[in-house]
Amino acid sequence: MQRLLRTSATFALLLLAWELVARLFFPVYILPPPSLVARTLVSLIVDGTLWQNLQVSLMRVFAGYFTAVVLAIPLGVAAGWWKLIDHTVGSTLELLRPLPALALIPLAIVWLGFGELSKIALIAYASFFSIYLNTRAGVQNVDPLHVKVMLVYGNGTRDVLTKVVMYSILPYVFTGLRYSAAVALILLVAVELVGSQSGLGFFLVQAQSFLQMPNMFAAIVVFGVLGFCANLLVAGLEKRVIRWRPENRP
Amino acid sequence: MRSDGESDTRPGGRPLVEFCDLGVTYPGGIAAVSGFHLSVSAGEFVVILGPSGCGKSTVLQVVAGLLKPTSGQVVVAGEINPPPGKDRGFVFQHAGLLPWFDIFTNIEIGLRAKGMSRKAARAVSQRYVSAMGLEGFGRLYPHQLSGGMQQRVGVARAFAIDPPILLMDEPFAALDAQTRLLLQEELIRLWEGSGKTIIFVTHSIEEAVFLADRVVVMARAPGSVKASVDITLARPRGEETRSDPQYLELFNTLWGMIRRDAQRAISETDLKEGP
Repeated sequence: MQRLLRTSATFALLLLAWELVARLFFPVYILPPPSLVARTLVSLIVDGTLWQNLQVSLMRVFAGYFTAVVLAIPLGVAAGWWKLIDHTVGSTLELLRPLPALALIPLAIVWLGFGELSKIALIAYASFFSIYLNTRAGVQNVDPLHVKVMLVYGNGTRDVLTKVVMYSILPYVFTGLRYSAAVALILLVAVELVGSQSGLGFFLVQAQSFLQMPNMFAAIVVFGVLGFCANLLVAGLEKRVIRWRPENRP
Repeated sequence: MRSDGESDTRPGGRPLVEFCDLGVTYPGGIAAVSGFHLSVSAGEFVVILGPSGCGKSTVLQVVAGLLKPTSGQVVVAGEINPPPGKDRGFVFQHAGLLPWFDIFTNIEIGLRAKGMSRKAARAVSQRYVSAMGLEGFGRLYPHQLSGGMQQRVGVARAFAIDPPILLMDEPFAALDAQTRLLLQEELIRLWEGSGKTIIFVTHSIEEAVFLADRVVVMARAPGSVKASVDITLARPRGEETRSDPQYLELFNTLWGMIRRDAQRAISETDLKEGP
């Protein structure tokens, strides 16, 4: 309670300072006051511009992120459990990992075009690694005692995977999911800034080229809210899924 | 009392578990167990007693089928070096409960592996939850239970599959002293009259004397049978057993046998952990 009070007082003070500084020292095309940004945001919501762009962006980021999840978790489990897969597929992925995904944007555009495919692929690619690596680490950190318990009571590999591995990796998987959600958002902005005719990022570039600073700030705020919501969503899901107390966390 | 160190069987009992010249060498060439001979009769409660690092847990893991011997063999009900099976229940030192399953589901791990339906397994686990004094805990997660309660679940899980053989690897070693005594008494009540064969590993002499029909003392580095002592204390046993004069006598006999090994174990750990 005390914390909440102090934090909100600080935020209110910061906003007030911004408002004053903006009004006293800067023209609107350099630094618009927060009140104007707020009004702009409301009008963007009301006239549907925001939703129109947001819709496109959300579709892209979800498609990319979802693709990454669907590929990364099974691959992470496979690489963590079977050495052969880790030494072949896993090593190949390890080779690609240090490559900054942003460097692949031009390549993706040449290969996959300016359409949705290149954007979704890039978001998927960048989001993949953290989920994959954390899942793999989760499998490698499965408590051998839990595996022993299953084996000694006559369970086979399938039961070990579905009753031990699937559960004990979850804290790791969620760490990957949370990190990747942030990465997906970064990639979303990047692909929409570079080669896009729609989406929130495109709206942002447009605002810049017309020096519509209130629009630009509004878009930035929406991106911030998006990041905040993504984190909240993953954390909420984690709380619902992991109801026991995990023994080890990454 | 016999101290011949050779394989021996209780008169009248047929051997159910037989170790023949068992040897286990871990990768790296360290021999944990070597030349281990022991024959356990059906219905017998055998406690393997030894200082830490004598390879007693290794022996148990071989019977469980979790570890393959590097030499010799173990014969369980006629089968040589059998894989893990439903004829053997296992109780681990740290209960070994799966933290994401509730107590019922944890007890049912062996039952479900046997192919029992969800419903039938639940009926059995409910029975054992009551038998172990765990009423009302069935739907809780392991972390919500004390160490003693958790180990009760571990014992219930082993008894639930109703195996002829129970293997117990220092099951009470991680518990506080009082809980430990209580669980020993509960175990002996569950076992007496059940006809089950128990091989119980411990480094506690009191525990060995209180529980066993026979205490097998292990020598260390590498582990082998040093002596076998019959515990002739009357059954059924209970809290009054601990005040039996014979109890103290047996304690002293066993302590005399392992004292030197225990001392050596301490000085070795000191060397290992020293500055």
